[in-house]
Amino acid sequence: MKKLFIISLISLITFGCEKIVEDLNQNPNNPTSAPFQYTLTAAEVANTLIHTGAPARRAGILAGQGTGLDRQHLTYTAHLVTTASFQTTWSLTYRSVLRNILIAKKSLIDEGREGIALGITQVIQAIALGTAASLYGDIPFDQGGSLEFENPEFETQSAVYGKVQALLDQAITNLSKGIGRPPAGSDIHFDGNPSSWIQVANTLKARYYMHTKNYSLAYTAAQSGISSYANSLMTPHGTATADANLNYQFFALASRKNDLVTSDFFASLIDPDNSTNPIPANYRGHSKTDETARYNYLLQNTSLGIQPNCSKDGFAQIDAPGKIVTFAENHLILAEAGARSSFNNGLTHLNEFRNFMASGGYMSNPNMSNVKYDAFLASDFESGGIENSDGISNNNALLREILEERYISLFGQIEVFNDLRRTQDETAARVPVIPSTGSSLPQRFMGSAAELNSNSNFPTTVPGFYDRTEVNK
Amino acid sequence: MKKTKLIAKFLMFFLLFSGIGYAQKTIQGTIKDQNGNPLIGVTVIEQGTNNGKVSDFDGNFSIEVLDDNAILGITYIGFVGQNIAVGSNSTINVSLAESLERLDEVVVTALGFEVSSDKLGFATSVVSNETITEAKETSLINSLSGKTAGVRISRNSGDPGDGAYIQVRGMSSIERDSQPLIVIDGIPMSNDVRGDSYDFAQQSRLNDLNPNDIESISVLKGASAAALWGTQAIGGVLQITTKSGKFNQKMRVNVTTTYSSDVINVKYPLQDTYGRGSGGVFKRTDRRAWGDKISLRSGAADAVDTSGKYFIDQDGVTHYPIVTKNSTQLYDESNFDKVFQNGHFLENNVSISGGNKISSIYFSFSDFDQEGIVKNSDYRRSTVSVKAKHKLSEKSMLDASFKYMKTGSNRIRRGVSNNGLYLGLLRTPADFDISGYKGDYYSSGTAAPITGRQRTYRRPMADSWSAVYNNPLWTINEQENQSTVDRFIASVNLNVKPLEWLELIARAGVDRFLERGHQFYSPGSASAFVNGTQIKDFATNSIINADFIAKASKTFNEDFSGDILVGFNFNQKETVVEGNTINNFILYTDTGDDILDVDNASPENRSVRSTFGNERTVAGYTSANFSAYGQLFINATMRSEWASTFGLNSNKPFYFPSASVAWQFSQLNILPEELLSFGKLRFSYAEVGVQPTRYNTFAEYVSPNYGDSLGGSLSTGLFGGGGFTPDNSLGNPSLKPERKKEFEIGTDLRFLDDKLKFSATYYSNKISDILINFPLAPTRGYTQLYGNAASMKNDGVELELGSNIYRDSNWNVNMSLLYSKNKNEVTDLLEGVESIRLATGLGGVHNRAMLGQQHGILWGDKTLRDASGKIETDANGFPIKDPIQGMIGDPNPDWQGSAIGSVSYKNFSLSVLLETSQGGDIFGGTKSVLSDFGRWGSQVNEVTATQDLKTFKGNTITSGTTFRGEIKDFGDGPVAVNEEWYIGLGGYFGGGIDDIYVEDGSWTRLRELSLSYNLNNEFTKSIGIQNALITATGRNLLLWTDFEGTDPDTNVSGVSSSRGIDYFNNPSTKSYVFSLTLTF
Repeated sequence: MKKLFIISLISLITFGCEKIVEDLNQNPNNPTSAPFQYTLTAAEVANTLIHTGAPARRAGILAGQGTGLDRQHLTYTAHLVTTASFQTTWSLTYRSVLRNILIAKKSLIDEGREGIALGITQVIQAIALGTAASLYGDIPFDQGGSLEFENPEFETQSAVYGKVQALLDQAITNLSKGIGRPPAGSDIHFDGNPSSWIQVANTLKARYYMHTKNYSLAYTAAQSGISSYANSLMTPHGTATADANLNYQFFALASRKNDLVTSDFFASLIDPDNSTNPIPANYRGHSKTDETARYNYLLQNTSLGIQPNCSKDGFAQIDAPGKIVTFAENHLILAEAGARSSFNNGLTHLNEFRNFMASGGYMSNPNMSNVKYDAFLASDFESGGIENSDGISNNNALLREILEERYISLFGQIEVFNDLRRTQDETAARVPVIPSTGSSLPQRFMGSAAELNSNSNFPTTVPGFYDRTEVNK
Repeated sequence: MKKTKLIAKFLMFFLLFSGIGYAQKTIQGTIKDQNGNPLIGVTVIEQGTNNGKVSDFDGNFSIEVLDDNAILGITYIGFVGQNIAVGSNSTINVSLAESLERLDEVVVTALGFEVSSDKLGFATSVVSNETITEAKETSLINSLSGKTAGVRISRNSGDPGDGAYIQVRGMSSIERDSQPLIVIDGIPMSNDVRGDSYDFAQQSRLNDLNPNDIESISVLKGASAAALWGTQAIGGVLQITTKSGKFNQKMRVNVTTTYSSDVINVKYPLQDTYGRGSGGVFKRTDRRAWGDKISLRSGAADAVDTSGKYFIDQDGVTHYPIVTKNSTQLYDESNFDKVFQNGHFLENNVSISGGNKISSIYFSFSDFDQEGIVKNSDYRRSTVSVKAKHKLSEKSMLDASFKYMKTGSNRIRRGVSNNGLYLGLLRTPADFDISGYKGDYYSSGTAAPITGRQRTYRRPMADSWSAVYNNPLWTINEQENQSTVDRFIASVNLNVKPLEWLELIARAGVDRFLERGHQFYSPGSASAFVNGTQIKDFATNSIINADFIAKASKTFNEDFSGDILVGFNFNQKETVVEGNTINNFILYTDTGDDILDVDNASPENRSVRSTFGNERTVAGYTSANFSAYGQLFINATMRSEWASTFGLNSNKPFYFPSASVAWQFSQLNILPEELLSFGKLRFSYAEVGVQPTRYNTFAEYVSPNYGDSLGGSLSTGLFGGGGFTPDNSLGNPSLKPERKKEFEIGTDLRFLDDKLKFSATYYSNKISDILINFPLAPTRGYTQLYGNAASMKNDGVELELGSNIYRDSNWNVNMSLLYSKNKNEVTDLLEGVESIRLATGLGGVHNRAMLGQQHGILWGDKTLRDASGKIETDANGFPIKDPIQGMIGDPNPDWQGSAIGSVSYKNFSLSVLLETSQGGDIFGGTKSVLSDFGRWGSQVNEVTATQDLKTFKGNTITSGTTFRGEIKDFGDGPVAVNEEWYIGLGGYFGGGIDDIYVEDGSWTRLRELSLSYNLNNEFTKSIGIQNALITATGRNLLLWTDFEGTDPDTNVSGVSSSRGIDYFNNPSTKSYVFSLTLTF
């Protein structure tokens, strides 16, 4: 009896106590799930950060477009980098883009929803990993972005490019189904318009074929690529502090704007004013070309030096759209890849592009009297022509002009760093960027210290800053 | 002695039997203290028998004795006992004298019982009210510095109201605070530190208490002392007992007034030989001071360009761009004096206490009003406290206390922030006058003014809204960070003794505070606040705690006794924070306007915060005590605990046991009592824990705001239909408590009639299942997973030596030494993880938990060295940076100690406290930056090359050339260390190597020096003053350290477990304090 009493007393206390503390630990401040469209939106926003934020600025410094003056930004210019220097890009890719896009993708597949939304997730996945492979070389592809694998395995850069192409093909198939459009508003780029996305997917295919130097495949893909400026993959920005254009946020608001300016070399290419142009001999303008409007659109003189133009109608205006994959890139792929097989084909596409620019192109409200992009003639590239004063082959002269045009039109994008490395051995045609420190061009973003700390499959020998990635060897 | 007593008892037993036929006799009497106040509860024992009584409320007793030969032994804790022969008296009135030394210190245990420390099996220390108030510190926590072995108080700066970190016996947790639990009169109280500790000196909430109200603090250092608090007590317990009135004591009034004058104790060495510029040339907007030699300028007025832009400052002075810098005027001193002042505080404290037979009361009022050494920084604390006791009956007593505290402060931004004080001030070159800091900018003679612009040395014309760094005058005048706290702590305690052997206790209390924060940045402030920002926060925090305890005591016979206790504990904590931030003011508003309108920004520039948090812990516990032969004391406790913060898969409840043994071996009389007057060995084992932080058992979705590294951010809520994603931190439903298992062994010895005391303790603990957010490889998609993943251990020694060196009727000389040493080691992290970044430190140099190292090591960029440790040099002979970061130092001290001395002669007394901390590293971040900027004091050095020397960038300084810098040999021959090196790898920016600036942070200081005079003569008594105490105290007067520029007891991370980084923190102080206490 006494025993029974004690047992019941103990159980009373036990269950009583258990009851008192039960059900209090679900955080009332946050939900525990959300429908796929919200993770899709978040992934698209995060992807914008990769392509128009810090990673792009860093790639720009390594590509000679920016010059770090102080603090962290100086370390990129001075090539004093460590694995800690590039980990934010790495984390953005895997945590903020890939993981979220995989969650959206999984819930679409789980719900049996085929078509457009699924295709969009595949395009975002492809661009995130394609870009990461271009910057870092070998990266986890199959095992990345999911909690399932404790130590995600790295795959070779070429294998990743192959899988990216396959993913884009699947994306195009899904986008072409015409069903399964994501809820209105959730796709911040095209609001689920499949034809725009299909064009973007094709341009991306072309971009990655360029990376792997498969120029003819690139040309073919680009032919189905972005067909108008409006179909460019861009992120709309607003005027609130946390939705403004990232270049604006950096160069107009953040204190670190003091640490980074546009390089003299880049400015010299398009600054028409001999009194301000740091290296007047570099100026591209001539009888057929006037870069005044483009200079004014892209850059401005500040008390620190030359920086992206943050004022109205500037490249970095507060609500200027963030450029991820553009019409300009697609057309210049056609031009470059075209030129690599046929001079005339390349010239035709270049002139089409110049025609687009002559009508104002991607500039915002340019002063048309400062815009001049007359069509080139084949003779302009012959030895002694206006684009070949140093007497190189006319093919190289054309290629040089196209690569330089890419260098300027893709200002602020990661692609300029990819172009530089891809063409570094084409000494006659490449953009003559001089290493900001020493004699070697940077070849990659060096891993991630956080990954190194926690993933046992991280390569034991971290590839060096000057070690070429597989496709650029 | 014990033996003879036993024999005597035995004899008495016979006598008792044989003396049955004797006549009995009743003795009555009254027992009073020296002042004639009755003493209650005094034990009166007929010597040699078990016959004893206790005095009542009026000090009266009545006892029947056997005969005239009886001797009455009268004993009372804190008083000198007496033996009185009965003789023919039937009335015996006794006056007991207070013993001057309390031989057996009374410790308040984890459950709030008073126990003689001689009977405890674990180490404790008691800090008395006198010790606390003598320190004349501005806060309660700081006054504990150097007073007990094993307790480390780490400060941050001399800012008014600044909090401090309390660490007992090393670090007990990796990411958790693990400061000791604070229990005040049996109720846990919050010692939270809220808000951003990096940018502001945040307060420790324990400092809300009025130190004058505290009777004593028992420091329960080990796990054993704290096992009854389970998962709250991993860092030990500070058991605070507040003052009460005394029964049967007439009203006593105490008035104390204290005034302190504070000055900066250490200043950074700055050079004022070279002006702003670079490469030895003046440049108008250069951020560094690598310019020309100021003394070589013409000394005429600066040549300025009056044709274009200009600026009219707040005093009407017009500034033009300088074309040629001619002036040789230096401003370091005047700039400094514009920002700093002599700080001071005035504290007034009044307490009234008294009582009658059944009730007693204590009431106090205090006001502490401080102005800091940084102008416009202040702190004010006002408190009211009342504590009442009332005997409901012979067998029950009720006591209740209520404290209300109000604090208000304005604290100046500091540290890593471009809006911080020192960052802007110390970087300002010596040839720049900060006077004009705000005004109107004109882009040309005909332009309209732009008003409200900030002028800084980086923007001497204020020709941009971007100030880069604040002008320090802007920091103190155009930015505010106010916080006000309203707090009350109330508790009731009902104690009933229904039976002689049974005691029932019900105790309940609540600690609740409301904190209102208000930050304001006038438009024109540096960095993100450029368009004006206002941040308001309103936080409420409450702790409700209740205990129900039943305690049964039993004396088996004269040799054995024991008690057993069961109890139930309920604890609930709740935090609610509501806040809003507005950016980009629509109407121009600055600090002078006092307009706090949330509508003063467009809707997209307003943001709100709202969080709610709640957790609950309940526990049953039991404790058993057993004592044998008056020399062996055994205690065992067990707690079973349930808490809401564990997940569904956790195996609840969790159990925390403890056991301790104390053996007073001196009772064996091996050594003569004159030599060894007391000796005790003690041993204890115990387990305590930490419960998970709340809301970590479920996966959550959040609406992220993605930061752009070093730039802005994109808030997903502003795009499309808004974004929600899984939180980067993963919850875990299978959490266990973090568990610390500690054993300690120690001894307490007293020699030469207690003139010499010695106490030694060795402890060793292992902390397993440490709850951490362990980092996941970024490729896994999440930042961290919360779980039980690490282990750590501590081993340590605590020694305390006290001696009464000399004493007579006029002199009393005492001296004590304290020493403690703790060695921590992170013994296990999750497999494959080498180190975990802690949330403290800078972006570059920060603290980590690293396998095989002590907690909180410094991590950063290292000099590349070969296997033998030799520095690898580049082609020019300069060090190379290791591409992989690593450990660069350990900020934990090897040992700490203090020496306390006191001398009193008649009414004078002098006391001294010396404190030392030896062996911790500190990263001189400020020095690193100032070296980069060419501002560091030693950078005036000029040297002539005796051979051709390479510079960092490979230039050659030819032999015979004199240059600013020095010649150094990094191992590959002499090189010229000049500007190129400092703005490159040898400085902070430009990817500088961090370990160059890791230095020894050891210090020794004269913490307190105090002289006081006690005035109590016929005259004072005739005007009603019982006693007047006049004290002059110097605080922190002397500091011996190799670390230059600031007090090494500084911390960029504020009140936190990890330390060792100096980075533009606000300076520490030394003080001259005068105090007068009048007792009526």
